[in-house]
Amino acid sequence: MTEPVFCVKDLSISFKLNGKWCQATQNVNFDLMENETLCIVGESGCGKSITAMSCLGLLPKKKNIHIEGQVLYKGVNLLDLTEKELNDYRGDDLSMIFQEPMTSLNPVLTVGEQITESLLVHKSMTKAQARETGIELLNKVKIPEAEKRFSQYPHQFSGGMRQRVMIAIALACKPTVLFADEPTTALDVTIQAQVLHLLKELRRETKMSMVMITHDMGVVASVADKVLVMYGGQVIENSSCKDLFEAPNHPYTKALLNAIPRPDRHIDHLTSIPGQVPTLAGMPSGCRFSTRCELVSDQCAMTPDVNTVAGQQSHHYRCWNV
Amino acid sequence: MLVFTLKRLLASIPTLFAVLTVIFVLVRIVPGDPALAVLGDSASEEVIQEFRKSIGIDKPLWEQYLVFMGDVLQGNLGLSMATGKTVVEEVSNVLPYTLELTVASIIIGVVFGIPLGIFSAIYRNHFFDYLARMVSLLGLSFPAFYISILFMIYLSVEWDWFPVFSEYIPWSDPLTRLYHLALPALSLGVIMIGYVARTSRSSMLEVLGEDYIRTAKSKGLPRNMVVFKHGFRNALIPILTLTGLYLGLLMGNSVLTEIVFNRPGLGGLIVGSLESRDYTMLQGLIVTYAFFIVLANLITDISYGLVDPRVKNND
Ligand SMILES: Nc1ncnc2c1ncn2[C@@H]1O[C@H](COP(=O)(O)OP(=O)(O)OP(=O)(O)O)[C@@H](O)[C@H]1O
Ligand SMILES: [Mg+2]
Repeated sequence: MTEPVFCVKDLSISFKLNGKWCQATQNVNFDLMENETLCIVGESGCGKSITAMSCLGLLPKKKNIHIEGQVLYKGVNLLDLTEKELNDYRGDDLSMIFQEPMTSLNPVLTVGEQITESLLVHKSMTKAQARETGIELLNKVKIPEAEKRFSQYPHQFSGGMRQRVMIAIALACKPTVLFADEPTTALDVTIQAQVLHLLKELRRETKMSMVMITHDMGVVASVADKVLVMYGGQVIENSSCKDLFEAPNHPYTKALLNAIPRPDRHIDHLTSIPGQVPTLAGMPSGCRFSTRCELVSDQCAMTPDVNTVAGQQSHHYRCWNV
Repeated sequence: MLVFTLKRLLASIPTLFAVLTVIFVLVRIVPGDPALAVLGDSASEEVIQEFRKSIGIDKPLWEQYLVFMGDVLQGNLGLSMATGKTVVEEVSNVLPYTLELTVASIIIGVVFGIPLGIFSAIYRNHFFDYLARMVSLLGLSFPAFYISILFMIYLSVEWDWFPVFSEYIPWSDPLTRLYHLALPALSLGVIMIGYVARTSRSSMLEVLGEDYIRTAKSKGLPRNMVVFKHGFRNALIPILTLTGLYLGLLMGNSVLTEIVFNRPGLGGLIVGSLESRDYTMLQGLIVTYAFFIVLANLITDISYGLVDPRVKNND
């Protein structure tokens, strides 16, 4: 068996809120093979973005943030590296598309400058080469009049176009692993399809692996090889994409899949999961979904073990009652 | 950029008009009859009328207003009641001294204050940050005249490094003039350093928390590039605005500094004209101040266009 390119082991991230440590993610584990796409899904606030950010060492190194576990890229634990050492990987081997396209671009630098920066730093290109590559990238993400747009500022771009610029920035150095945090949320449906298509194409061309964060189960179905379902900072189910859609195990996953509106199911209202996500400070001990679960029992006050589905080696879930 | 500059220039004309109107009104609602103030209580009715006529305050208000505006636009601020010379002449005699003092202290404030604030933000809560914050707190909390007096006692009187009093020095002797400028400019500059450093620190701290800084980090750029290329230029925008605003503060403080150092300048004129109730001179001085504050705002606006592409393109 080949080694995974990227590997997260028992990643727990805690924040100190009002003097109390709150665990925002608990023992997150995943592997990523070459050319594989992993989707992370889960409700807002369940810790998807911070997981991805800690994979690039982007969570601020402050006293009120504590990270445990390992983030291994080609066997190197990125959490042990200094900022300077991390910079050899970031933007080059590893890159990230951020969730907030409106604020993630620097307002006082031209779009071209922001795209070519990493080329100049990592690929030691000349200005002219970088410019050429930059314009090519803008064309690739379907920005019309790329040549002209290259020297414009972010405020002259719409939200969707900014998101595509972000994508161009992340792809500039042809990363080995791309972290894409809801890259299509700000886009309209046609552009969304184009962007997904583009990402798939790149994946084919460059053997890139990808971690994609999304709320959209449709996106999952179209790009994912593997899926990680998170709830309240815990991975509650992970499996291949096919197995997850065919045979979800965890009650939360089932509810999530049921919440997708489908034309073939004639229902008058959209199904939703009753109750609300607990806050960071008010996480129940044990299974964090227990406050909203239909199958809840006394056992749920203890953290459930990871169970493996019979006959499906890479299909795991955390639940006492399935 | 040229179009932008011209637009800003045009936009400041109405401001100037409004300011002049306010000055006109203010001067006229101040209690006390200038004629009595100048001529004394014992002057006869005839003499008083004569005087009122000579300075044009016997006419109806609207006519006075038109005359005032017309005169100001032609650069005529009237005759000083105390000396009989034109206000413009009196003001332009000392204006260069006040201007060089304000410009020098702005330069001191910016040159020392910005790096102090920026590094203070970068090394937040480290030793340097505490030191820098102390320095800027000193500048912020001491009144201008107090710093001036301290500097004078130690640097001039005790150690004899600088002249105690400044005087009129012709421009033909620039070194001596600079020598006389140094201490007053330094005492005002310390205050500016305080303000500019505080603004720079908080503005830089805010910028360093922005999403685009995270983006820059995710590209693996070296720390200096993240901080200076991505952070500093953005932080400069609020620093510019506030520095422009502090100019008003500086002009006020310069009056006191000029008096402490007995330096020629608008400060001396103001005090003199207050003492002698020289009402045309006072009006002329306020017009001069207003003009320079509007000018400073204009420069601030234009420098925005240089730093922030959003300003230039939206216009
Ligand atoms: N710097 C921080 N300090 C304190 N708490 C934080 C910080 N950053 C994130 N959190 C908390 O960590 C939790 C996970 O945040 P995260 O941004 O990863 O959510 P998410 O799953 O990406 O949600 P969304 O789908 O809305 O983007 C949230 O409860 C959030 O409030
Ligand atoms: Mg998120």
